[in-house]
Amino acid sequence: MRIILIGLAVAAVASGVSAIIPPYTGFLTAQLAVIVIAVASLNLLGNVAGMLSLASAAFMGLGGYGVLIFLTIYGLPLIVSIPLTLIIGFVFGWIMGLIAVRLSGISLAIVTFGFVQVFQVFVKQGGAFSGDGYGLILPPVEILGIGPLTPRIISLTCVFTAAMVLVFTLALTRSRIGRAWFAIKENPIAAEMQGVNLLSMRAKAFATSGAMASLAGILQAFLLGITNPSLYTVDASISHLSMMVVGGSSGSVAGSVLGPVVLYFLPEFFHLGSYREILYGGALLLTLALAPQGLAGASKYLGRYLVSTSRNWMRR
Amino acid sequence: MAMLTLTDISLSFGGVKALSNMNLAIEPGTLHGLVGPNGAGKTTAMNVISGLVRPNTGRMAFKGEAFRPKPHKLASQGLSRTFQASAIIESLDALQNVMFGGYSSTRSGILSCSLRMPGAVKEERAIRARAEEVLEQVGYRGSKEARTADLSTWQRRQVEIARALMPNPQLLLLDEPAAGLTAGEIETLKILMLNLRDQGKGRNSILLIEHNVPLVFTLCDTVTAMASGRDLAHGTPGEVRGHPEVINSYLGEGTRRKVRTIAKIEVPLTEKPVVLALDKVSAGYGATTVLHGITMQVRLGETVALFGPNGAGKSTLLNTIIGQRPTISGTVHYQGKRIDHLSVQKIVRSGIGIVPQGRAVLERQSVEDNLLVSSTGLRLSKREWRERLDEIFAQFQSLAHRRKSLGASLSGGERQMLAIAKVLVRRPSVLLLDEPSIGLAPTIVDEVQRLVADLAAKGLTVIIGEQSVDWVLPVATRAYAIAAGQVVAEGSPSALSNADTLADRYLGRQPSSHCGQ
Repeated sequence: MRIILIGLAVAAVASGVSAIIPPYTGFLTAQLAVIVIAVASLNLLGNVAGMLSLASAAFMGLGGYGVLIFLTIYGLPLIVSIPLTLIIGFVFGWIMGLIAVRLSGISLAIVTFGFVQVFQVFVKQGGAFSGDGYGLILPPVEILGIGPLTPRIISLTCVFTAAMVLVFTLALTRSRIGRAWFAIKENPIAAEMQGVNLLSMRAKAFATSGAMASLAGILQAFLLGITNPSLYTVDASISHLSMMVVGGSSGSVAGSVLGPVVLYFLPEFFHLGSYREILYGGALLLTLALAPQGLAGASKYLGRYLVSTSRNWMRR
Repeated sequence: MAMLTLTDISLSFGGVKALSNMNLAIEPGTLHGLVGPNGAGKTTAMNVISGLVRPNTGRMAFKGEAFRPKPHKLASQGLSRTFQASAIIESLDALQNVMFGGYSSTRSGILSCSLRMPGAVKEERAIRARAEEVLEQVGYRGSKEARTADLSTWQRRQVEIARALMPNPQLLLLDEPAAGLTAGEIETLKILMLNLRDQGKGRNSILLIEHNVPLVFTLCDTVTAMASGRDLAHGTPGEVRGHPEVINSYLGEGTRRKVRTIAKIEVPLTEKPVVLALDKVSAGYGATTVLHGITMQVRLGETVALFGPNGAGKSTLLNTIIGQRPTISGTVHYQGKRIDHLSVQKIVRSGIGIVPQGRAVLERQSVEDNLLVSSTGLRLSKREWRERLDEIFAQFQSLAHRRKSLGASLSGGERQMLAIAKVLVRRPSVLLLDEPSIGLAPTIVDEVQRLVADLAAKGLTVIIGEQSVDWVLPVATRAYAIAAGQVVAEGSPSALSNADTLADRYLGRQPSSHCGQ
């Protein structure tokens, strides 16, 4: 339980900080939070359970379109729409997982890519459900009589949710399920011998990751106020994937934050504009060449190095 | 009633009979040894018991009931196993690895685990307590939060055994638990296995697969000897040891150590030129220095043995010569040219070849393709390549039959031969062998020994890093004893190994020969 309390505290501080910063920075931070959740979902699937997926954009789209369809077309209240959408993300993830369990590496990536393409067809040809291909618009929403959702509240919610998602992911990777996922990634046979059902455990990883990415999609829809087919192309998936790689391969929570901060937040914050792409490629290449463990691995190494050198220095 | 029985189990992989009418009966409360030469089918038998492969014919029974093992149900059925190759999960620390062993006794779902609900927390606490208890039981002294990469071979083994003990198995299957351990560690392992058997109070059994045959015979209550996929003999160690068929097939006490084709060296070696010279070489991994100022000279045509216990720095030394490990200080000269700053590729192309400890065989490539990969950069014509292949297969008869077989289907002995062949196909002038005898049956070790003698006779310079001194003695012309990253003695192999105190202190040999412990 302690980890949850610490998480709540961190989330509260993070939201507090994002409440006092200028609106644009607040918006950027909220976008960052959304991306962090998406990258964390890939990180859990890829670096923890060992499965490569290009479907994060489609699952985000599922979240964004799902929640807006429930709100606008079915007129369901917010409190029902969000859990329903998350369940849809989970179920689609599970199905994806069942298709994917027998595949690995590049064939798995291609199957997940196929899912993104199918989703693109839906958002362009889905009739009323897809806003006739132009996307859906967020209706005015009241939360439990408190009042209308303001951009500030949405931004705060994004940051708070991202922090909580990270805490829950951390708790999950340090649990029996996380251990089983790491074991499946490294040595499926040994994992099976300890009683892990490979099929269901892989499906669970996909489902969890799917629900997480859908959550990111829901938040993004609220943040932007719209959904649009161009938000959920494979380009988005690939950028999430590169953030995951730059973040680190150890499956650590820090990696899910560091990757998006370096590849999304810093370029936007400093208005790097078209230099962004260069930074993107450069950061990817540099990480792979200099720190194959990613930024999280490098900072861990740096920390250990600093501790040991300072210890040696003190001894002298 | 036997705890586990295998009756007439047969299994073939693509035409190769791995098991044919194999029988095995393990009584409750016993430590049961399974011995046999490489390729006898020991690991296959264990894979059948653990459900990784399904036999073509035959029956199995566990605790009197028909037994159709499924890998992921095994732990809850009361069986648990370790693996020949390390199956440690590198992403998890030592304690987490052991805790993973308790997976089958826990039920918490994703939601409960990520929200740390009371049920999950309770389970986690129980698992942690059990893991700490089991680590205590196996005598683990290292840090519980240690990254597995920082653990020694013995500590990794302890963690793996502890993990297998987590579900409290009635039958524990241990696949080569003593491989790569020092004599002292093996003694500790022995006591651990006996304790585990005794703590089972006559109900729990252990099945032990081991190449260290003396270990099995001194330790086990009952032994089954296997050869070519079937059981040759069952009984007490005494009975099995005395069984003529077993002696023939495996131990070969009478035949072993007869072949001593040592090269006759006409020119005194001191007049031959120095091929490889190391001067005060220090090297290591990251922050830790493993080699401290090693100085040695190897002359053309010599067979030099590097003796020393686990962790003495033998592998590091060989890897430093080949350029795999950068030097911190000192120089390495090969044929008069300095090579310590060169890349592995350049050093290999200049004529030094290494057979690494792990037997770098490509599992998904055929024997021929394995050799082809190793010929990269030689720019051979088709005809020249065929000639080289013929030359290799003439030397390695056992591989010639299996040209098209995949690396994964080779037995341990065949793999070692292929690993050596992969280096020889480049016609190196210096051959580095890193622990070539690890995990090999005595007959195969004899084969390796003969091969080394042949190569030396043809004028190849050989450097062997080896823990088990016995087989190297007759073929080596000179030896270095290495301990804690330093050369502690140099001389003729027999002189080095006869120095009892040295052997005791550094070579980790069994004390049985000279002191009444």
